[in-house]
Amino acid sequence: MKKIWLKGDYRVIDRIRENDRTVLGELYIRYERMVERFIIKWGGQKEDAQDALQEAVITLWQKVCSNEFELKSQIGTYILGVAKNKWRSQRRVSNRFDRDADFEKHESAELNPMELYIEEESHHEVTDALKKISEQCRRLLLMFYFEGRSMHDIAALLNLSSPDVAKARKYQCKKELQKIMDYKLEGERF
Amino acid sequence: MNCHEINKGEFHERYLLGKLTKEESEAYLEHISACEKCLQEQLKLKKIISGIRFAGKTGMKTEIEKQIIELKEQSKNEWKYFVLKAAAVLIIAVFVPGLYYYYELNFNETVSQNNLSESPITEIDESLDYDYSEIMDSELPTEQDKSIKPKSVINDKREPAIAEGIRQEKKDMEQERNKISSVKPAQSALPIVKEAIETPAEPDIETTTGFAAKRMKSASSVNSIEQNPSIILELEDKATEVLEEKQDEDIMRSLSEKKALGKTYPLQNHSIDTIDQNIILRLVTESLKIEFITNLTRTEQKHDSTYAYSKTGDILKVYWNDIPEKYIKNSNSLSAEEIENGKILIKYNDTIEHQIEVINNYILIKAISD
Repeated sequence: MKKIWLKGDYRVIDRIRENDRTVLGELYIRYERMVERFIIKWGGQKEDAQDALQEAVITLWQKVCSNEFELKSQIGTYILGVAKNKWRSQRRVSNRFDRDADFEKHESAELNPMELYIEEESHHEVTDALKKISEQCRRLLLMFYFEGRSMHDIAALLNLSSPDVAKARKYQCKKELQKIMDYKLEGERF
Repeated sequence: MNCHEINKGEFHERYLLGKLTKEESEAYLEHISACEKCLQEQLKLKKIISGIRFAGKTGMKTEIEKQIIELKEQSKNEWKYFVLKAAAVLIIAVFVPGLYYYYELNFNETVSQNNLSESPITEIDESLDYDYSEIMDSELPTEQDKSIKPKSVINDKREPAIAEGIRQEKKDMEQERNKISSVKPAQSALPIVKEAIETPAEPDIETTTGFAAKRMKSASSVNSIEQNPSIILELEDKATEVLEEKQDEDIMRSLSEKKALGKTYPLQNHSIDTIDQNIILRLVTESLKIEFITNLTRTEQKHDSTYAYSKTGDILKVYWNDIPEKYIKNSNSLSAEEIENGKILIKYNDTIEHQIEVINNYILIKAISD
């Protein structure tokens, strides 16, 4: 039996599953003051709180879409927990950078500035390619690789006849994206 | 595991998404470490997935920011709408009835003033028992009020006619009041009341007042004198005063007549409700027998009589004469109501010499013959 005090939260989960994206802003507004108060209390800035809350909302969305989220407590508690962790890890990274200005010493893949730069470049490459493929393909790839939705859900949301059709469509979209990226790469070579 | 199996089984994607089993993962990593082509394909796919995730996250952040702006704007608008709604409700609930009431009141006032100017004061129901002149005074505008006029009256073209009507009304009432006040003062009413008291066979306040009122009415030609409570009350007061004076005069006349028969002594210091033999004895001894007081040795009460003894052996006795037993509550005192003339007797040395009579606040001691 659904707990009464989580009734509103269950509705939020359902809306995320139904791909109702207006819930994103509502969640942010609802928990903005709570997260801000927490982060500012522990020495953070308002901007840190905004970033952390955005990350937390996105994480909730991904977890719900990939069926990894189970509503055990209120969504507010979950969001605050995620925002807190995101802000702490971000602060750890920035502190580490502040302590040692010599970037050469950061050899891990995660913190290597050069690798970060290359990664960012490749990200922009994909982002540009995504803008060039069809709307359905773009949505399908985002739903599968970013949101972690199942083929069953994608088929339902994109009005595809079956999960197999969705899977086939995903293959085609990936190829299309790859093709655009390769074409662009070749164009740059010549 | 070979390249064909990896492509067919989507091992690159499943590995990157963490969906391979432990065994599959080990086999896949073993092959990829030896196969440059598969490794490149995996890196290519990794770049695509990473890029899609980055694009997804960036897009979603942008979407959130956009929604926040919209929601906050919407919230502001909602607040504006709420304020507007509240203002509208306030206007409907408070101002509209207030304005309606204000104009309704003004309209009624204008109509009533208009009617007032059209109907003469003589048509007012005279059966109503109050002073119209006072009411009219309170309703008439003062000089100050005239400067503060309701809009409806200011713009009313009938205003001069209404004002003229009110002024005429005030003038009439003033004349009527002057007529009444000219005969109202107590000094002018006094002779009429006195005359009225003399006229009835047995004068009382009601008949005297009624008579005086009629006389005043005929004398002053004031129509509403019977309906004027202040004049009637004043006449009643005056009649009461005159009647009391007349009663006192009657008593004094009666007393003076009786004084001729004997001596009177005031009873001011003694209760008139109760006649005590001791008091009578003292009054008698004080007045009649000076030498008796000086020689007074003792007083004594026996049954219903009080005795005074002197050194010379004289005896003065005060006693009740033929009073029924049931009235004698105390043998030496009776209530004034129970005392009739001739019921108190004084015996001096066994000789009836005097009879006591109580008249108002006086005791009359008169000599009686045996």
